[in-house]
Amino acid sequence: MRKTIQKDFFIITYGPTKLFDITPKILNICKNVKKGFINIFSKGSTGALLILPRENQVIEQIEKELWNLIPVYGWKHPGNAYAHLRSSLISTSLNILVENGKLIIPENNGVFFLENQFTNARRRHIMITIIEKN
Amino acid sequence: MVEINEIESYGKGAYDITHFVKKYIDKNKIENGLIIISALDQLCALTMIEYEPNLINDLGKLLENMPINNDYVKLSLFHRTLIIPLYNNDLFLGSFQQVVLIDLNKEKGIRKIAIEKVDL
Repeated sequence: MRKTIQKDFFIITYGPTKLFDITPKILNICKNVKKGFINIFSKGSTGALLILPRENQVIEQIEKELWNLIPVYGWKHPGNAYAHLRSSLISTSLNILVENGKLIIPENNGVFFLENQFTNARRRHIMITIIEKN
Repeated sequence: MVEINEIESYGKGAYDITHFVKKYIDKNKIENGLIIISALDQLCALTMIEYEPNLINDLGKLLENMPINNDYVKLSLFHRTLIIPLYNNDLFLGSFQQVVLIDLNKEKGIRKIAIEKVDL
């Protein structure tokens, strides 16, 4: 038997190329999961989800490097093609194993939301679907 | 049960397959859960992007300009399988977010995708 639960939350972001650590919110939702799997999904076509080290210096470096992943200019789609293309490549869907309320990911790593848009105080909707063995 | 859908492809390009997934949801009367979609062609991958002609053209340019010639390597940067939440009878997607099949086959033909559900 399995149990499937969905829980969502919102974050307020700014950008572009800013990473937001959403690990505490995910851990709070998963705190009672003994053994299972979660899908994390951010709604919208310009964000992205990544597993990265939870170290400020590393995150700042990654934010700088992300500018080189997809060029900002030179596209046909007006304005934010680079943001859509980054999102399409990195993806807005992430799957992680959970055991005893802990995410099974590399030590000292966390889940980050990447805001690719030129924006201020943007509301992002994130859904967590938990599939737990009963 | 896994459902196989056939997509008529005109060859190399990107195809909006969101309606196939929505049809599957309607047919199976699922309200909440997860939808799993897999591309079953060796030269196809899946992504989520706004299906707007200019942006699809940009996606093609991105693939074209990758510093590699091998189509299998290019496709390996995308997913073969997508997992999308289903929430209140609909895919949990943004207004400008569609499910898109990237096809790098030169010839036209039928491409297959598999759809399965994990309901609440």
